[in-house]
Amino acid sequence: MVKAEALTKCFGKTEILKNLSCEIRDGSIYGLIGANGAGKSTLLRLIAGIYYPDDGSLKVDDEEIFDNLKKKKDIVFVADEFYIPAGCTVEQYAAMYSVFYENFDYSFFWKHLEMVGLPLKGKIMNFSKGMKRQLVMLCALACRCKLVLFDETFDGLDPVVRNLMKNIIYNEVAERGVTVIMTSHNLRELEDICDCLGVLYQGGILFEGDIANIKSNVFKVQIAFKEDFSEKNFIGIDIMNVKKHGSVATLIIRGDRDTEKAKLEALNPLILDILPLTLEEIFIYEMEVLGYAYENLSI
Amino acid sequence: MLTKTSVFDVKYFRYVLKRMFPYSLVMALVLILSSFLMYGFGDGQYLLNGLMYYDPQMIGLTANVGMYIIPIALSIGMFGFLHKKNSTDFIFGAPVKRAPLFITSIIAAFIIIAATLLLNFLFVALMIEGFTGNIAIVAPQNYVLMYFYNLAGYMLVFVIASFAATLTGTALSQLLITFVVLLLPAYIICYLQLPFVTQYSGGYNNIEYIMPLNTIALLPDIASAPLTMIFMEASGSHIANYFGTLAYFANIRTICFTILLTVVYAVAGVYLFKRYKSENSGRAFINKGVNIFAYSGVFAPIMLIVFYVFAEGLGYDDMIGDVLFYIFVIFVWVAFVIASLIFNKGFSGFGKQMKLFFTLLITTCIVSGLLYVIGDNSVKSFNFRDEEVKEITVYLEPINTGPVDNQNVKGTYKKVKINDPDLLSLLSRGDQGRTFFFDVVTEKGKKLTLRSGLSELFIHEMYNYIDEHEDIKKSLFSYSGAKKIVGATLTFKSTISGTYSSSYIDNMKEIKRMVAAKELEYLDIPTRDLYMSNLNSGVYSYSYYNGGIQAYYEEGGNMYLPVSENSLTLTLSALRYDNGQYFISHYTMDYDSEFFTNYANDIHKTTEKLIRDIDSYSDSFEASLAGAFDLDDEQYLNLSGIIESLPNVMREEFIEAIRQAIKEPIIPENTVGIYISTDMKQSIIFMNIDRDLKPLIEKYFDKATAAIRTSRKGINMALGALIDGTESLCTGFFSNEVFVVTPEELADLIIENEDTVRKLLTDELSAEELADEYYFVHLSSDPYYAYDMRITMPITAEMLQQICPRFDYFESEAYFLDPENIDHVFYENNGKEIRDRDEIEYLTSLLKYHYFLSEIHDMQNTEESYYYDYKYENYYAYYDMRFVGKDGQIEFAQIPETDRVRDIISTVKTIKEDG
Repeated sequence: MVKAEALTKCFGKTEILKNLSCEIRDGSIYGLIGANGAGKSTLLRLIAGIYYPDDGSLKVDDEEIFDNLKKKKDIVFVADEFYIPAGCTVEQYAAMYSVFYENFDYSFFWKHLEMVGLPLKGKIMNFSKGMKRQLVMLCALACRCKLVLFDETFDGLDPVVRNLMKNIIYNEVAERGVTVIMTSHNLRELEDICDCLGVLYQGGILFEGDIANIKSNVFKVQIAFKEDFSEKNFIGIDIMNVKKHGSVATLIIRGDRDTEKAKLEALNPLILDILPLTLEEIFIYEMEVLGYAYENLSI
Repeated sequence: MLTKTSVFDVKYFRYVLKRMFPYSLVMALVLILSSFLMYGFGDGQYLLNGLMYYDPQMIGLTANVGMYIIPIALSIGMFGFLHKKNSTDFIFGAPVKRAPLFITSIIAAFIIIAATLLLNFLFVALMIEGFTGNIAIVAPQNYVLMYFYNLAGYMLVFVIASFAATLTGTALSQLLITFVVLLLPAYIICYLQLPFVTQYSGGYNNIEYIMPLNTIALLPDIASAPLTMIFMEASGSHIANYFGTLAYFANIRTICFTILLTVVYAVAGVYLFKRYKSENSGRAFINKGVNIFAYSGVFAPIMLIVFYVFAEGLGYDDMIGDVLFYIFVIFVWVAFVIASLIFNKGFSGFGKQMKLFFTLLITTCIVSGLLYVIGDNSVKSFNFRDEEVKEITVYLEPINTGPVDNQNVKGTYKKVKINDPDLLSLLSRGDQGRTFFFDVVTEKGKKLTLRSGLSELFIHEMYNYIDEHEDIKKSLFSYSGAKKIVGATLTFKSTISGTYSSSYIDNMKEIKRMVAAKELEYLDIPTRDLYMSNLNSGVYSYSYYNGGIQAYYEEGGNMYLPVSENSLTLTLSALRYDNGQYFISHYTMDYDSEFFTNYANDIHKTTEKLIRDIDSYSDSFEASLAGAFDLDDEQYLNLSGIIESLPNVMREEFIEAIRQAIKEPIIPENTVGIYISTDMKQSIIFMNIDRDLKPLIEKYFDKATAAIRTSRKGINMALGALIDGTESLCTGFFSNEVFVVTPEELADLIIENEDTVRKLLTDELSAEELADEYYFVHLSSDPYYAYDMRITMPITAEMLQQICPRFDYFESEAYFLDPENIDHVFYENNGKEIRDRDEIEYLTSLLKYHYFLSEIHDMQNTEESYYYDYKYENYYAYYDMRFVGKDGQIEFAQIPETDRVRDIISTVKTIKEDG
């Protein structure tokens, strides 16, 4: 388990992360979203042991990571801008990883390389950006580490390859119980793969939670009554947002869907429709509740 | 607790070795190519001539040139991952601990550098084998020492560069910090030594001298331009001076200290690397101001170098240098604009770039200016009146100035405060000549450090003054001690032979005599304490003492004042081990003086170690007595004879005896130290008199005796020349030499002794004849005698041997050597015709001299130098003459100006040439 407590990281006088606390459980796929400069990459580098915290603590399985050889053997980090030595071939690149990661699985690497259709030979410098990212991601996964960190995970990948890579990650998590932490500034990229999501804003986790819970516990209701009504009519219901158009109101409600539906039915509405929300919509409303304009988050 | 993994990481080691392999290859090639280019060809042709034997450190020198390039490049390559975020992420994200990563890098660098240097040294050895066919000439111990010296130096520079890498995140800033760490301590010390630091063009590397334990040997003048040495001096004479000193630094102590420094920086590097802020990678420094300052710090010296290149190339006073410099700056500006346009694809962001550029330009100018101003260590001159002077502190050079020439190093001098008004006036007046420094405190309390010149006359005046003032003399003694006061006068003495101004030439000899006589009065301490360790510039600067009278040698210009005609001058050499380095001091003295005996008895007390690095000997082999022994007069005479007759009489056997002595080293007891010198190297080998030399003495008793008499004759000739007022040249009087004073004498020598010389050189000469007639002719073109007729190269016995048979059988010329064949001699310049038979006979005899010089000239390919000297300096002159044979044959010749020739020319009538 990755556990951050009051984590602070400064670049010079600028505080990138401020008192950040979070927990990422084993075997999950944790998505970090946030605007550029929110501190996503910094958090990943702290988890990877590249940076050391200025304050607070960051532990993986209750151990500090920085300069901890034992723990770092279980962590692999794929940066947004990945390192590819000049003139390096696919084979050499895999070999470079295998030097540092003793459990590097060549059979996994070659098998999946073939699967995604990457050339098995040739200089990497001739690859497209997406191809390079696939290669680096496969190398990282082939390291057989328990914790895999992807920064801007799917940047540059076309939809087909993106799905392919997501499937490979799924399998890794399912088969080996790998924990994956991935970042993106695009919520839509992560919503169908992550178990958990955390929103980073101005150096802190603004909001986090399991996607399944979020999706099932926040829903949209269209409701109409014979008489005029107001928010006061919905006492006991956790309404995140209300929009009224004439006699019809659209409510965003948080809570157990069946329980909340029963409560609403008890009010004898003329119309009661429960509509699904996209994750993005949920986040918009959640942010509004917290007092942040969604636009500012740029997710 | 240290564990295996906490200091070394095998997998990273493999990785870094593999990654750095191309670097290593390039490094090796660069070094090898440098060795080949620098020493394989060119003027030195060290490899071709096999001279690498004499100076194996020259191989090290090649490596030294790379010492400030290769390890830094290697470090930048090895820690280059810190300069990019993505590579920093990869390496620091990988399961490698930081401390072992750093240490492993150092170990990998050690292996790479060791292998690279080894390749270079092996290559040079192979080149020597290839060129000379004799690998054995390489002196192994020096070779090995130089290897480790370089290895240690390379590692130190590498570790410092790596240490710098832990402080910053770009290659440029790493470079900057590296040089700051390398040079700042040296610079500060140099700066503190002001005004004694010689200026850039002084030819001395003060950083070496002041910091004998550092490895910063190639960058002498950080004060003016830190990188100037690499770019400008690497191909210049400074290197030549430099390698002379390098040898003294390449010792175990230096290596150990270098290793210690390396360890210190490595430990500091590990500490900082563990705390390296990865977020800084790709950025020099977080702080923008510091960033700009750092980059300016890199640019400023580069700009200064450009300035120096122009200024040096065209002369400091030439404005074109400045103009070119500004053109260069404008060019850089235009290039920057163009590059900015290209990279910004137009003018978007151009303003920002311009802002950055001008910021950099301004800060660079400021840094450059600061460097220039601070670095301008020349002493400023001030005007003050004599009556304003309250006190003067003169810095007296101590006798023993330390391991190397510490002239101009303030800390090594002894202060003497002078308040006497007359002396103050004398000192503050200054004069031309060699400079010295002194602090002046004026009545107003202003303290100035001034540089003044000392001429011979000034020194003479000083001596007189001191001599007349007992109180001052006592005061000086009390400040410096009895021995050191003589050291102080030594400073002045060096002026005597240091520079000659034309106005003093006429008085020179008399001045020297007077000064020497004055010096004698102060030599009430054992002469053995009088020496200057002045060997740093190679073999060219010695101080000799001849029975208490100075014989000062400098830059090839020799002059000595013998005590009496009966003195036989021998060289006595003291080998001194001081502060990890060897020094050889030379003395010449009267052999029967009491002092000599005392000195000989004491010599081993000051000799802690011996140098035994003689594996073979060159043609310029030269040996002389050096040791302590209790010989009776006869033994001594014979031994001296052996030494002095070495080049021809018993060379091989003597050398063999030395070889044996080297193989079986002995404790210096009842031994003679044989001083061996070549053009490049000096050594002393101690030989047991009974074991090694007695057989030789017995075998060559006669010849040795004869030889020493010959030598005596040579010296007497020189003495005679001095006494009769003719300037004499006394170069190299350790061997059998005749000091030819004038062309006339040389001509007479050859004409009168033609048969003897031939016999001598064909081994037909008896010992008796040898004693009287053996000549080793040595001519010189010392600047002081530039107006004299000299040949630029020594005429060796071997050359005479070649000339002699031809000399006797000039085929075409023989016709003109017979006066009977000559109809008349025609003087080209004024058309005078000489027809007197006696005069023709005399001129014909001189013709041989012309032929002799022509032969020498042809053999030595001395171009036109000696003709030029002769013709245009008007001290001695040639007369261009045409010898016209009775058969109409014509021979052109340059006949030396003798008194009789001059008479002949002046008395004959001018006759127009027929037709």
